[in-house]
Amino acid sequence: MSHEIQTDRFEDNYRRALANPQLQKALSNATSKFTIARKVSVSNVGEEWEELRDRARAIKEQAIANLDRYLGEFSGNVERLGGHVFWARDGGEANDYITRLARDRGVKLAVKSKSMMTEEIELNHALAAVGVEAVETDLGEYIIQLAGERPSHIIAPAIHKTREEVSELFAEKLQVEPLHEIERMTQLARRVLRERFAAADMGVTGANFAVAETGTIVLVENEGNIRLTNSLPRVHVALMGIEKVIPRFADLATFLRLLPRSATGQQMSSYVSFLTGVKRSPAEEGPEELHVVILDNGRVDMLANPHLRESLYCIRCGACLNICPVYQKIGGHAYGWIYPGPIGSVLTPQLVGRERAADLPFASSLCGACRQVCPIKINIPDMLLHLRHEIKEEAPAAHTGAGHAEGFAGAGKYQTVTQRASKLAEHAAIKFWAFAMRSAQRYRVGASLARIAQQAFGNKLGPGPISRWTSTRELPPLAPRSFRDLWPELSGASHTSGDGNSGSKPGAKRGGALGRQN
Amino acid sequence: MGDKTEMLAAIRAALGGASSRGGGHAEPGVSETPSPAAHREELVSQFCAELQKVGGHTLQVQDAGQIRDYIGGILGAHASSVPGTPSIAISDGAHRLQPGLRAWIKDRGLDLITSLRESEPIDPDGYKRALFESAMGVSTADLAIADTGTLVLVSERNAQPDGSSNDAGNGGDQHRLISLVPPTHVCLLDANRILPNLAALITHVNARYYSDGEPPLAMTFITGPSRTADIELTLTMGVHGPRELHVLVYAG
Repeated sequence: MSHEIQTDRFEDNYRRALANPQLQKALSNATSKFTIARKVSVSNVGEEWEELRDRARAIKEQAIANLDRYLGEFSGNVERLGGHVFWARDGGEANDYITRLARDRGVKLAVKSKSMMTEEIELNHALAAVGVEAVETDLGEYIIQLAGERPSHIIAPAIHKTREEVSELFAEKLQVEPLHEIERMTQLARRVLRERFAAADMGVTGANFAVAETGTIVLVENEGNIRLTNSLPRVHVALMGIEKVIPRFADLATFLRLLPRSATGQQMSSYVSFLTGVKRSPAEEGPEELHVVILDNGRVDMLANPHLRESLYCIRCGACLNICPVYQKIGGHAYGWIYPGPIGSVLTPQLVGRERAADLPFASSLCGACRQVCPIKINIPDMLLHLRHEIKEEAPAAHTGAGHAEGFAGAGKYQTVTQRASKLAEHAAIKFWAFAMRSAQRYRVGASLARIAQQAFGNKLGPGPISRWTSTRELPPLAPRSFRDLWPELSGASHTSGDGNSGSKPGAKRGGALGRQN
Repeated sequence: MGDKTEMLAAIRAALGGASSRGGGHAEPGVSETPSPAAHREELVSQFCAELQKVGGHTLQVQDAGQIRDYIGGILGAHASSVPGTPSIAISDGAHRLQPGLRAWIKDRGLDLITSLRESEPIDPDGYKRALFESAMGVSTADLAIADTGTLVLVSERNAQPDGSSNDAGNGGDQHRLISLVPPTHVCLLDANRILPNLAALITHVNARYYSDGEPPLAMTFITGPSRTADIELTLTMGVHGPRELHVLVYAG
């Protein structure tokens, strides 16, 4: 299944998501469950959690700063223990290698476990083109594959689907009577996929960690499909981005405490596989061949940019998705490609091209929650800001606006005349706001006028540059007297100056035309 | 065609000179507070409690009779749901530990599957097919982690089939598929091999298995039965791996 990149249609995508009540319910359910589970699990670790994050970050810094050395060491160990290593600059090279391998070994069917990298390079599509069927075996991914869709969450790919939809999908695609219990649907998937596991000659996995000093690939999961994929077929292909390598085996003591807790709130995932090299005798279990594909696919460019290098520290736990107020409302599909949420808004423009995903770095309130939950303390807000800067530098004419009062669509390269006009209006409004706020006198007068205006026109504004905002929202009524006016009475004689920071006057700040700033 | 030298050179160029690399040298260390030498009983009860929390079953056993009774109980409970004669896989490590178990299985009229390396001739495809049809797999574990309820199965390279150089509990059991493919996994764990936490486990296996240039072919952590929550985030057991996990803890 080829996944079209839709990152340039962000506004359409998120509007569709916001208008879908079922999706809104699913998102709210999923993100709150994950967030609570993570919080409980982290609090059980106690104060040590921060030490773990600092240590993980230090290890990633060391690994990435010496990436050439550690990758060389890793690949040397894989080869010494009987594995093959293929270095691919991009998805095309990786897909060519894997499809050629599949044909050479007479592979008709490949079973796959969840791997963001294979999604990134569209491996399934490439395999299908040479007549090799690739079956996703993670339950969520299998559902998505049957439906011809794309994952909406890094950890729970099918959270946007209801049980009724899955039931209908299975009935249609697997020719069975509709099943109503999730339990029975899961058992059906087990039976169907077991047949595929038994018949497959190639197993394709990703890699969560690659240990330089031992040549070990580490895979973390709950279902057991990764274990089946890496131990049943004759040929095991593991794909990894260059950033997956960690220096030492001992570093796993840190990462394996952080990853499950951050991802699902588990102390430990059901299964962790540590795979090193290949067997030497047919009497041993496991595949006869191991092929590790190490991919650049845009990552060397991330490495070269000191502002964005931290993108490579990500361990794909999904915690930043669940905590993000934007992701919580728009879900994964709105981001238009495989990496959603805050980290997706950092990765996607770098991987598909800034011009194709120019809206994504603007799809954030920069609240910083992502950075707070990130197990590696990745500074996502700073990178989003940097990308905004780069995008505006690259296409200055298209980005005259100073903010995003109309949602997130402001940064798009292809703006309509209305959008451009409202950008100008917005720019003017902000200038006016700055002018009003610079003087206590002007601020006081402005707030009084706003109070009068609201009494006269009500709490909706008619047509105009901000009508798209106000048509769906009511402005909060302004208090008859401002806090500023009340303060001298409330505080007695001790504070009479009345001149304070304009920013600390929320009541007045919400008034009239200034309301768009909130 | 990708090329190692070329890609590593590109990475070096992207990193700039050595001076701009930064990143220093993180020492892995062991960030976890080492528990005071806990008593075996405490480790056993913590392990059992944690594993039960994630849906595993545990029992402390004293002798071979208890192990057979427990396994017999599970088979009895499943008897109605399995048509035909159930086959039971008993790994070579579990056989060395409990030599009477295989004979007992056969005496009950059940089919027995042995480890791949014990079969004559060696037929990996036939072995996989047999396991797909089996009702239960019995294996040993090499180590365990108390505070997460985790079993650790080590598959040493070139382990000897007669167990001469690989005792059960030292990476010598052939348990990779027996612990995965059948719908029920029964695992025998030596109470002396339970370590307090992940840090202690990683330190131990690093020194014991991963420092001599010949690391094990595979090591597997198992923490509870196979689970998924991919449909409406509803927790469901046994999606791909075993639906049931039973750990019998014995005092070795």
